[in-house]
Amino acid sequence: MTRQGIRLTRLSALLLVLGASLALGLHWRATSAAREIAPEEQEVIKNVIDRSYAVFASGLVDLDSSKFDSVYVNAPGFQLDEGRASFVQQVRERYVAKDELPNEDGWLSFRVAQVIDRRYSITAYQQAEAAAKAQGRAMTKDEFLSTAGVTGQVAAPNVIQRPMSVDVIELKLDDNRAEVVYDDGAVTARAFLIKTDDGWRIAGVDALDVHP
Amino acid sequence: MVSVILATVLWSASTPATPVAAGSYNRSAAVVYSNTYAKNPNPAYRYFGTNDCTNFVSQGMLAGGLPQVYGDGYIQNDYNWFYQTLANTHSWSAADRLNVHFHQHQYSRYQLKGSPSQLLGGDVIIFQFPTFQVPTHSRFVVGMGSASSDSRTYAPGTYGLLTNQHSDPKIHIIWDDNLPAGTTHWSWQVIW
Repeated sequence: MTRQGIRLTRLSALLLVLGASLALGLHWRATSAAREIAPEEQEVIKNVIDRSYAVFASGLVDLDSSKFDSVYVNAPGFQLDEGRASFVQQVRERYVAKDELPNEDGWLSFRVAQVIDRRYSITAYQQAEAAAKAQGRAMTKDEFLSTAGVTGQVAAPNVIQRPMSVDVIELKLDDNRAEVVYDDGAVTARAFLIKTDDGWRIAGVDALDVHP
Repeated sequence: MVSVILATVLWSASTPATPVAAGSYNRSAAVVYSNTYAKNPNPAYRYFGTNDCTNFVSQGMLAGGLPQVYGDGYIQNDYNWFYQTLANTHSWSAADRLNVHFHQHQYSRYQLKGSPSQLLGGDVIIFQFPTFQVPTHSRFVVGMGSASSDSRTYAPGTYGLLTNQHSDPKIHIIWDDNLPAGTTHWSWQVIW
């Protein structure tokens, strides 16, 4: 082998090592983000998800969404899907309590809209039931149906409330954004969180698998 | 349009159970059916894999003698509720559509109750998980008893209102087993 040939071989080897190192480095960074997150921060993020279940359930029971902004947020870049966006829009157009609903669309607005819709349906149901009772009769089917919310269904009579501790399957962190795959027992979901001045908030959730 | 024609044509095809007169919903038969096919789907019906919950619930009600509702024949019309060899209504196999069907027949075939504790074997609970904005699950009530080893929230042997479900197939689980906080639910009693 000539001196020039040796030089080229060394150069190739160097490039190969550099390339491999770069590739491995990128790969490591892409797949081991969770390991780079301090355990305390992982716990904080998990707690926000756990707490969101309790806050949401309480909001549905008390018909009060005032604590939702402690766990949810409307964030640019996290669009609602068509169904949820349509739901929020219908709630916005139908009900008087518009001031309660943030102007921008997002996960917080979606959650608040669910409470507004539920409150309307429950109130309408109670009024229809009282009116029928005052006339000494039961509600008719039409009266029953008139109490439905924008989804065409009356508010569900019951809400499950129980302590929650989701199983975190994967957690990725990118500056002030986190992506968490977790399982709540019935559903495997992917939550997107952003870090605000007040702490981590959920900006969106996608269901990945349903297995109650 | 094709599905409408298909559904109409198939009315005369085989139905797995014979409708009976009003007032004769056979809860025992419904429960026996549900227990029989909770873990092993009935091959007489299509199986919707991981989305079979409401198909299974509908089969249970039909086994109890609840007559199918053909209405205008449209499988998309939630007033209707029927199963044929090659087509079924959306209300037969989708939890949110069955919930609408229940609404459409409130006081005539079904009655919304205030709590699962008011239900009997042969009744149905529809669930909406907090991740979704519409119901996506249903369970079939089989009566009071001891929970099986399929339970996850409750210890096997726990006494309570038991249900069966498909996807995942489970038998004799307490009605709210393994469901997250924030899940809303409608308890429907068959009053046929």
